[in-house]
Amino acid sequence: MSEKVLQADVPKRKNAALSGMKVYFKEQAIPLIVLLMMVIIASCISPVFLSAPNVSNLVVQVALNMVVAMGMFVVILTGGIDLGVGSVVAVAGVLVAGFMRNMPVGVAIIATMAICTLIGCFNGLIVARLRIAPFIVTLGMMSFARGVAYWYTQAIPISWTATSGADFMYWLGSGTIGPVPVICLAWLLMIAATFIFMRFTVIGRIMYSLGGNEEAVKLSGISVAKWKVFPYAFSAFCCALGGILLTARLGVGAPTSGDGLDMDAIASVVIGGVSFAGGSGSVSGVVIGVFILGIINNILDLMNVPNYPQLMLKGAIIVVAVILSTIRDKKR
Amino acid sequence: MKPILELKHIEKRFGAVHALKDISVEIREGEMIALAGENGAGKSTLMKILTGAYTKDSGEVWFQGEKRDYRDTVTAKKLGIAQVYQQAELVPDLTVAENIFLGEPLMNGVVHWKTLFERAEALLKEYGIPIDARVKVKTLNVANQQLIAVAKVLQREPKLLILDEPTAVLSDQEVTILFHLIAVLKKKGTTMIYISHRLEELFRLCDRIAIMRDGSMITVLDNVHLNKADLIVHMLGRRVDAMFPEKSNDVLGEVVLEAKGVTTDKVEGISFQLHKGEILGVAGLVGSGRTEMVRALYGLDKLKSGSVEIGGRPIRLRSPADAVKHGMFLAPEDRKGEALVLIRSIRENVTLSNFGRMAKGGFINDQHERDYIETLRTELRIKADTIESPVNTLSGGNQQKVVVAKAISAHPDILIFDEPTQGIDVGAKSEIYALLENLRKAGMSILVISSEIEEVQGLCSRLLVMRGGRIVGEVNENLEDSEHILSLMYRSETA
Repeated sequence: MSEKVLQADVPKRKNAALSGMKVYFKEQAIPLIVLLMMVIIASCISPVFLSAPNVSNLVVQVALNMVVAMGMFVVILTGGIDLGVGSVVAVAGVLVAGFMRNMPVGVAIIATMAICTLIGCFNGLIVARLRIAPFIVTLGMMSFARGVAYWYTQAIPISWTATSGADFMYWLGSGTIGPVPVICLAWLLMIAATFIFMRFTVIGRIMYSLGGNEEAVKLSGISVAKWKVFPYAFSAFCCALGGILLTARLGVGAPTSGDGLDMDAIASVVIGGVSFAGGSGSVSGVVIGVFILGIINNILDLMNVPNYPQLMLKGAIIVVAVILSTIRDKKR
Repeated sequence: MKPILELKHIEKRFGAVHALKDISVEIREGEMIALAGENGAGKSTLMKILTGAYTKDSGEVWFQGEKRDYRDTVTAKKLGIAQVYQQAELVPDLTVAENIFLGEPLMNGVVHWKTLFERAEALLKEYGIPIDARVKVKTLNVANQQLIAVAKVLQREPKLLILDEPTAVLSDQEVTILFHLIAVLKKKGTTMIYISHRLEELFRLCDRIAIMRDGSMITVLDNVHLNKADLIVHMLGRRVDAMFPEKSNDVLGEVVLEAKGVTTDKVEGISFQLHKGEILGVAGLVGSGRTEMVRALYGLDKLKSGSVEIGGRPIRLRSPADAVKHGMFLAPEDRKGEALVLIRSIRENVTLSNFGRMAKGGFINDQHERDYIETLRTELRIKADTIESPVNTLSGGNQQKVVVAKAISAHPDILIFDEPTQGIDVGAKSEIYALLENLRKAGMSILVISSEIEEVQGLCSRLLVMRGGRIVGEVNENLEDSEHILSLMYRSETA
């Protein structure tokens, strides 16, 4: 209530940028406060948390989830869901390593990206044209793509360290530019691209509107069947990038990689305030969500908490985040 | 007569908007009082405070002589205050009877089907609603669903009944049923608050008329002391000279749109011509196939036979995208379900209809977009904090204006407008009429579909009448002859 009164006192002709900022902070208030609290709590629990090595460790740790969450964001924004992200990451990871054995690294990367994006297009086409629930389509893809990854590698991780592109891959996975890890730059670029896409382009606008009311978009003369393919293709593209970064980091393309990533990506998006109902949410919220989850993982590692309780905690956090966002949606 | 409800100095603010300013009013037991006012005058807000959906900032509510300070809908329900909503909230897959008693003890635990249907049938009979209690709600048309929504509320025997635009989706036939039902309620001594933009209804039904403007209660007058012109002046705070713009008898231009025997699952043999710079009206009852005809023309329903020609050439219509490509634009009837993305802003909604205007190379020109939509907002007098306000924060009439803004932004050659003034007040209505006339003068061809006969009579130079999925008549002259039009609309198939 006090917020509303405060707003009323602001003179009418306020600076557009300033009011934009205000609206932004109001919308992102909960995730931002949670993030801040996490940082404070984490630095209290562990003195190591804010040390330079741990911070640089953290920004590398979040990379995979950050990149994948960008795609997941767009999918959830349009009212869908992509359960196959972990498996597509694995496919990308093993393909790029496999391709590197007999092609130049650049070609291997581009081919991997193209194949994965096609997988996404396939998902999208089934969702958009045949009107099958995204949950089912991507659940199928989750199993199918994981199978592909195992089959291609015969369940043995593929190493790229002996190939001609090893130098580049090593730089990509473990190199730095100044003090900044290359992998960190990669996800920063991905965030920037997604932000620009969603904020300034026609496609972004259509994505938001699709999530809000598909029928209204259709009646405005926009081909829904065409545009609904995009989020899934974009998500798979992000997964491809994530898989390549992961393989670059690990030195091998492993068919088991990306396991449980679906959960992490969905959790980050929802924690970041993106509505499951579709139509509302922002890139910056998702970035905050990824960091909240990343810090939780990081601090639990620092405290030597085993993996299983971590999983339990993560599950609980997702449910709480969804409850909070539902309450917020109701209030609107 | 003693008052059943007293409101004293009610205040409500939403952010910077002062929605209700010191509202005080007494409602007498057993009377029917109308609440009149423009869109955004605060009628719905006031009613939401009464039903507990909103909490007031200050002021008092006295019900049956006791001060009541409830903040929830449950208490209001218990007190006997009930509202029939504009949009029917029913479960489509349940039967009429189940819907009526949903949430009541009769539907808890083990359902006694026999009692349920008996009670439902008795209720429908008592109020003269000719609908079978055993059919599923999804098989009913919108108008009948609205009647069931009313019945659902009546089942609770409310002491104070709020009817907010109950006739908005009804055609004359169902309106008669509703009025009969209101007469039964009056006889029972139920107090009623009636909100409608159809002013004739207020005069016909209500004992007194309370008039609101800009969040204030202007005056409460006895029906007999008031005429329509005065009422409008009170509502707007100014005079409306003429409801409809002057018609010019231009010679019809070339044919821009022609339907040749268009047939779908719902309509049959639709043939007509729309000329350049013409407003062609389509009149018909709810369920006469008006909306289905539009769906066929706009590529939403598959054509079984026949063709649609634009500029003399048949076009392929697989989706609305095709229709838009050929210069059509549809402003649909269902504002919430089909026309607007409710959770997004005015700006985003308007731009949706024409990205070409705002974007270059896929990037939206922010400044250009803002300027354009700000101009439209001023021109159409859309009441909102800013163009960034989500559309669902606007009142119904202002939402409709956003639909109009969308259509203007699209700037089609052929505009199809299904119920252009649905849920809109008198002042805004005449504005929209003037606007349509201006668009017509600028060379746009407009197809107006309406369930209000006066609307098509006043606006159009020619009109088509639909019944049972067919065009049953075309009226070129003597448009004032309502009787002729009505007889075309109603005549039963056998007669």
